Amino acid sequence: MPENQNMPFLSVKDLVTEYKSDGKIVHAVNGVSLTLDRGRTLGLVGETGAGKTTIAKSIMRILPDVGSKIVGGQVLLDGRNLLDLPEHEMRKIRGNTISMIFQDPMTALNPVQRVGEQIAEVVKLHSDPGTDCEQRAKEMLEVVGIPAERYYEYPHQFSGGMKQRVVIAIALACNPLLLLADEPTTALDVTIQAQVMDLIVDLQKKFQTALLLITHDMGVVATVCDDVAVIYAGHIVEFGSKEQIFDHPTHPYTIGLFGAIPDMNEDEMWLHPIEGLPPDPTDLPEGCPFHPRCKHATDACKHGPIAPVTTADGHMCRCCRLDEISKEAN
Amino acid sequence: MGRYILKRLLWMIPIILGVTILVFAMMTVCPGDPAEIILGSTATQADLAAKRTQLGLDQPFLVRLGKYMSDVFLRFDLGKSWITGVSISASIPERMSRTMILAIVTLVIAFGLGIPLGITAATHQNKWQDSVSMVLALIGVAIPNFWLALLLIILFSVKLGWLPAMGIEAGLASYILPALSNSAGALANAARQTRSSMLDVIRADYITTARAKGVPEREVITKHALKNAMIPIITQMGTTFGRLLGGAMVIETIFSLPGMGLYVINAVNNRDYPVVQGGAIVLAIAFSLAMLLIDLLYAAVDPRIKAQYASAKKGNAKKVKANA
Repeated sequence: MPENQNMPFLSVKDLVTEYKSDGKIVHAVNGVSLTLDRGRTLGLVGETGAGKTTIAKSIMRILPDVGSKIVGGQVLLDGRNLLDLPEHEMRKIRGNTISMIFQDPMTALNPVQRVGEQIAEVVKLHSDPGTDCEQRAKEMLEVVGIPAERYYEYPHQFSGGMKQRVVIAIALACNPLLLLADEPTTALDVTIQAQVMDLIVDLQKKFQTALLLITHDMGVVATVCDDVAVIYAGHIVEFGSKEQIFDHPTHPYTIGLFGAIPDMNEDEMWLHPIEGLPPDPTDLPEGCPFHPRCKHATDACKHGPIAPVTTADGHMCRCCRLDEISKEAN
Repeated sequence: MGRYILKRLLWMIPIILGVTILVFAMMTVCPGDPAEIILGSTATQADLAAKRTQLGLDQPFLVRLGKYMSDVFLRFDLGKSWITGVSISASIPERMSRTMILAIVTLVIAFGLGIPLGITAATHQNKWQDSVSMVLALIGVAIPNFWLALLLIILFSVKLGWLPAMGIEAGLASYILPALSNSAGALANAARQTRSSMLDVIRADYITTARAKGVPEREVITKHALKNAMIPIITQMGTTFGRLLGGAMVIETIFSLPGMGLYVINAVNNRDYPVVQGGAIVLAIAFSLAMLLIDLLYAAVDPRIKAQYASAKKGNAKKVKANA
């Protein structure tokens, strides 16, 4: 249970993160705000390069040292701003209170360290002295469905799905209160995907973990998430409950995303992609970042920041043509 | 693993035989008459002919080669120096040990300083620490070792009188200046290699995983990154060591350090065939053993390589089963 009933467990406010690349500034995250409570799941949905992973890495402050910078905003965890914490305090939180599951299990494990030791390491860092870290690591292996005897093996002896289980075991070994899962199933076989997702959700329920799930798989979102944030060019363009987003998508980008999913009940000749490409993050268009691809765009879309519009039940959309589009939809 | 080592040791046999034949042939075709060098320019034709007969040089190449091979590999006798008459098998161990000490001290200095320097450069990429390290490395590569040796002698032996300028009477202290002057280039290369292979590794996903676990930055570098970056560094250690074994004659000459380099180079100049051949065989063995050691170090550092060695063994086991 959150200590402060009025305050969400995780609250990100106006987060801005930039990278420097070849002398240009990449605007990866541009004023993202979101909240997440314990036991809830928030899906971050968007195209590759939209800034989803950067949001997660910014929350954990594990962006690469060279060339990346959190320019502004707050990350409040139980009311404490993580961005103000000194590094040694932050280290106690990483892997302990907040942990992260990475996208590519093939490269996320240290190839020269035994898998069990990689789990035991995180336990050792965050548990009281005298804890039997090896025992705990073996328990975690069993939890994710790997026999404890395989503690002494190396990552190259594991399949992709098993490596991802190890990554999950590392992430969950200290019972984190917030789990950031960065496309945890993207690199896996379809058959393994469901197993891994079930595993994460089971463990989330058991420990009342808040789960931030980064994905571009709408199917996963539909089965797992409570809320959904649609990210485009480092902005949240639409935010709402899963039902709100799936049943009444309002932002043209979200509508386009759903339109791109082929309908299995109809015999469709062509897919319906969103025309155009995501904008260059070093040179974002003024106004709504989606306007160059938006068929509803008017001159008003090309100027100034677009104010978010929130309905009474918490469905937020950042579009200045909201009224016209919803009329058209009805 | 034991089987792998045994296999590698057995592989050394053809290598050493090959080296022996090659060096023997090279000495034969190389110009210069040993008899003339030994007896001097005043010797008569008859004396020279008698000397050649005594040395066995009048016999056909294959006969001489066969006799030499049977002496070396069946009776383990490398023969005597034509110039000094001293047994080669007796001279080599003490000379080899000096070269080995010099090589090891040089390696320890080069990699003991080069690796931390490279790590500093990599972890501060494009900052001043990186620039300073790489300028130092550039200087290290650019300085000729004989010039550095002379400067070091002037400073530490002549002005300060801390360390001996020549000879080996002072024990390990005698090796410090030779090793220092010998290590500048190797140190610079070690630093550059460490930097580049650390930079490859430091961006890897598992380093982010380690950070995400809350591992302190120092441990991220030493425990997670360095071990993964070691393979190219170890490779370089191997080649450096090989070069140090055979190529220390400049330094050995400057510091009057009677090691293998000096021994063999003098023998080459004097056409002292048995010494050249014996020296080459011993260096080939030392080099092969060093390379084996490097390969075993790979396996110690990287379990994937160890698994390859072991799977070669398993492959053999399967074959044996199939035959049975």
